[in-house]
Amino acid sequence: MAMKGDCDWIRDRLAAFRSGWLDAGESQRVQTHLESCAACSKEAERDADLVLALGAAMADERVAPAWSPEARPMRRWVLSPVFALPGIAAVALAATLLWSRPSGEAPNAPPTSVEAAEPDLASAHVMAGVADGSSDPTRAIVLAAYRRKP
Amino acid sequence: MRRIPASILGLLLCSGAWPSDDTERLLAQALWGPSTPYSGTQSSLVATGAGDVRSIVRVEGDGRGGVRRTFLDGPAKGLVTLEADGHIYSKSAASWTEIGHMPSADRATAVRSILQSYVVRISTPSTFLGRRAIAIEAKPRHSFNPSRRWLVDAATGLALKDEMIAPNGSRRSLTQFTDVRFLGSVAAFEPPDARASAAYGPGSFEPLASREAMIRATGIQPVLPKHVPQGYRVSAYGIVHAANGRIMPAVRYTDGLSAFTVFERGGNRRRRGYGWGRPEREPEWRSDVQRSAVVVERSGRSFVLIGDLAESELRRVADSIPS
Repeated sequence: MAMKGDCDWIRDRLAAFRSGWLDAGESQRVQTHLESCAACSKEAERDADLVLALGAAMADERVAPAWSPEARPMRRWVLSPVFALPGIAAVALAATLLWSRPSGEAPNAPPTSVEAAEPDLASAHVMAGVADGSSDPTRAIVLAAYRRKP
Repeated sequence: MRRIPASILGLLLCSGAWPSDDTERLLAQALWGPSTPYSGTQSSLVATGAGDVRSIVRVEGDGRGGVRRTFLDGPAKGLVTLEADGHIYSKSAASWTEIGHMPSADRATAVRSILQSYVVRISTPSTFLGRRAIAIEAKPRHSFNPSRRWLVDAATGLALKDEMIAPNGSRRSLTQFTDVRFLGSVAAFEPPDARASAAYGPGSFEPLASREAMIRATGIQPVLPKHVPQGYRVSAYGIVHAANGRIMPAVRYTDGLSAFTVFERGGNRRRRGYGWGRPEREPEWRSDVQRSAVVVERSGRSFVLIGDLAESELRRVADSIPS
């Protein structure tokens, strides 16, 4: 029978255990405990379910962007939920605001207008702040995601 | 680093005689994280033109700068990000993509720079989430800069709250833990073995070793503003890849807590001087609560300036870009 103190110690480390961050000794201790403690084992299952649910949510959001250049191989970047889905709104924006397009570009190239390009640059600016301390990382990622929403 | 007993700590805080090296330590921990592994949940409010956007994030830190975030709710819901070794990766389904390739920060220089440009005050410890916490407030010495407040865990230095405030006093964001647990030792987070690089867009920002490297990569000589706000310095030269193949030079300036970046659009070897032949457009301002932004043209070259500082000061920077 597992002790209460053990359970607290184990539950503090479930996410780390799942992600493979624990050292070998700690990982073995968690594994052994889960095999003998029904409550913690159930907690670990709930944690795994959450991860699966997140994966499913991301899969649902994987939609090819409307302006994805067909002449290029699909970039993984555009499949990221943060940066995906400029969609129809981006195409409309590009059509109305495009003020110049260099010759030789694919006809379905991404928007090149000032207005359409600037959100990406704003995100590049704020993401760089994660490293140099000028932005709270959570804010930076939320802002980048928000700006990419159609 | 010496430790200060709690009783003396309280006296020092109340008297305002906080030793500067501890101010620097607390500031560095608030900005770059503690040396103790932790796991917790954050609630975040980010201001937008449509009101505050709320997010819930599970955050796990390895105590060595590695941080994994799982966005449970909000605009980034479903996203998993990993900060490790100076890079940020996002996980989509089973694959990782690098979404941030960051300039390495000289932290000691950054902290000194902050102390020059901001008045940093540390308050008497209070209690937050059942833990002793110290408030740090960085108020700008120049009114064009934003301000920032943290509530840091007294024992570990983890920022339990982080509030960013625009130069006009509007709140840009508030991120705070709603629960947190500190762990023993955990293995350092490693960058994912298999990951793709962002081919273009925000994640393709690539810091380069020097101005010369930026010139080689873009094929153009950068035109830099003659006016640089007090306290700011160039912190990185880099490039951003646009989706249409253009390579855009980017020069980043920072004072430690606030930054602005000068991007040059049209950094394309095939079309150097993008936009020539058209009359110069008036500067186009696109500022909001989160940032100041302007597009300016000079001799047919187009620049986008984006900054955390007040629009009035960014305007001075933009106006100083030579023709």
